Amino acid sequence: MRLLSIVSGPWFLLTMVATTFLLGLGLVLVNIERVDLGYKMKQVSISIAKGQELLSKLEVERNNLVAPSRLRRKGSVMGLAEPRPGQVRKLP
Amino acid sequence: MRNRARKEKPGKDGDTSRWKLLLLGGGCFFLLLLLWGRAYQVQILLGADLARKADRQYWASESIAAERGQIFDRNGKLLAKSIRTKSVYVRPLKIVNRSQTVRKLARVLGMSSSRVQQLIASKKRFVWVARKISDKQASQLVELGLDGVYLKEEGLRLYPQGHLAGQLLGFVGLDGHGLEGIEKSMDHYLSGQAKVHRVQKDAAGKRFYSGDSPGTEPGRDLYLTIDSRVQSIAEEILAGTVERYNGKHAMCLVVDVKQGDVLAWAQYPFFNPNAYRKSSPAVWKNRIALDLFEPGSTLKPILIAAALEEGICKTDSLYFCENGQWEVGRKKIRDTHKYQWLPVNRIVRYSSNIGAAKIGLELGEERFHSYLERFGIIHEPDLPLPGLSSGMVRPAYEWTKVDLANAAFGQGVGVTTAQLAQGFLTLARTGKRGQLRLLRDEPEESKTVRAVSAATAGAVLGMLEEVVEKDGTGTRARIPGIRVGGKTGTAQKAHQGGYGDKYVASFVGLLPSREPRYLVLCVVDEPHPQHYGGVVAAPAVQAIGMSILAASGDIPAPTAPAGEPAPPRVQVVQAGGAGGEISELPDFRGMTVRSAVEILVSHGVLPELMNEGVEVVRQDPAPATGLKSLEGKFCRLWLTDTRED
Repeated sequence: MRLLSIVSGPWFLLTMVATTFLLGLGLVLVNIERVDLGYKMKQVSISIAKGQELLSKLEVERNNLVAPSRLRRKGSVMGLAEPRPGQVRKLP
Repeated sequence: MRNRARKEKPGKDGDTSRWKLLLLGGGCFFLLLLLWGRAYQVQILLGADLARKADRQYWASESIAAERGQIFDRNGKLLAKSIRTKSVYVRPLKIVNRSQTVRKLARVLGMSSSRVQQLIASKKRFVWVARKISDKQASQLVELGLDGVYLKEEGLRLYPQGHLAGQLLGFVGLDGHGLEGIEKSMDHYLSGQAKVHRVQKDAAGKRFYSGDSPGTEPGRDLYLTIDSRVQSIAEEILAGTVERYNGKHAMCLVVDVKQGDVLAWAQYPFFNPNAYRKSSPAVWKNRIALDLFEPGSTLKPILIAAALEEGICKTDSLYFCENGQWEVGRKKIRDTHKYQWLPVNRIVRYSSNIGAAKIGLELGEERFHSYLERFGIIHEPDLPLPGLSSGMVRPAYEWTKVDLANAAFGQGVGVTTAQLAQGFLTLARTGKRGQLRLLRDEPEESKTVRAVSAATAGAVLGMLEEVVEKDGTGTRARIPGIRVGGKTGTAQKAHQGGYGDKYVASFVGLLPSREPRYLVLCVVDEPHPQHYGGVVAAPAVQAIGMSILAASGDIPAPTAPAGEPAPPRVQVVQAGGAGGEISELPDFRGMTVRSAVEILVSHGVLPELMNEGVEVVRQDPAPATGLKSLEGKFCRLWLTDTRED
């Protein structure tokens, strides 16, 4: 009976309304934060993707620069040649 | 009283407040009912439809393309990789200033103004202007911010080593799927699984991360057995051979005999898969796997192996070679020289067609055909490539006596370069059936199938050694310091029902000859004026063999001919440049590391290099230490790098 009287009292009702209002406000704030965070994460993921893409392109470039055919050409221009029989010695 | 009574009586005398209250209550109730009704309509009747509309407004589907797997050579060198690039499209109806847009687009993209004008004059809502532009062009377009001009991200397959193994790798189309070569046949392995996921968007349509982003399944990386260095060497030498002998095209295979790994799959003219649109199908065709040619004399070792295995002849069995001309039916068979009696090994060494035809006729069509099958000449090789050709060898029951005689020296049958290599691989593996391998991580065949016995294969390998090391047809394939085996092939090309004046020159080399480590096969189509395999293809095989041995550090020292003293193992370079014997450790300071090491090694002292560099700055033991006391011991050398940057 006492509980019923509290629950049906005006203060309880007021508290409930205020709590609902505050929770609603909290929900709105959390939602705003979530969207903000979403934007930031999107930016970060774009920048990660760009970095990875750049890495891929640099890797391709590096492999192009050290391709055996290119190195052989460069070597022959600089007077290097593969060893002939008798020119290779293996050290123990 | 009467008045009071009148006041207290509601109703008839004009007191309408009750009615007003009732009316207000009824109105409120009606409004509430309307509200509930609307709520019912919105939530229950239209709920699903409105939820869908809201969903469309707040959420969008985004497709994330999976990255295609990379292709590497056996040592992990990159052969193919996908990157993201930009393409330009226009929405003609949204272009504001047409003349300015045309001018700026043409300038940035390097296109003619008339072409751009033509594209944006289209009535379509979407028109591609340029696909896969460079990063620089894309950033310039972003800076210009032209109305109606947009960029779209697309995948681009790059082959960083250019034309290296171009025909083997193939290429990828605009949709990201393989259209030729390994890219096509291994498309299921290299392609990943694209994923579609939902992203939230704001009122302006801007998308933001919403936590729902499942990872894609990227394609798997592929490791080939190809060795970029060997491939590069083979391509370079092949190109030189074709240009020197005016060939139409040429093919070369280098195979690691132990596992059957294909180290080089080279063709000339080259094909650059980065610019496949600039090449014709004739250039990107994988001729090693697809083109059939009559192997000519390179088929003789397989005939001889079959005949030895079946006991038809022995290594020293004699055959009369008819002084260079013999008729079988109405067919005349000729040799390049007038031979009389030749043992089997010399039939191979001098490549006698008549001798081979006689052995073939003794062997019989059934048995020869079955051995061709055992050596992998008839069926297509088990390689991960699209549209492999099987050999063009008619069933044995269709062969006439002339067909058999022709087939014995490699005419009238068609094989691919890959099949011929497979046949020789079987011989090189002492008769154990060999399978060519292109994928490094592919498990090796567990069961061993023998085509011929080890003794037979050994005997044939000995004959192949004579071809190169004695006075055979392949002497130009000799490599000083190593015994090379091989077989030349010079086959006339079929032309209008007969044979014309065009040839296919080929040479198969085995390095070293007795326990081969490498198999090198070179085929040159229509060389002229020289057309003999021993003249055109054998030097190419020799050059490739020497380069491979040099690259692997296994190039031997030349051996002295019998009766002559062996050359000094090392040339001693004395400090100060003077030659001659020394008894004490010289002062190495200031000498190049090479000279110092040569001196030490030639006197049995082991050099130990303490750091990297080219010039000796310190040594331990000190100069003038007796060399005899140091034999078998270490001499430490500290170096400094004096190279210019």
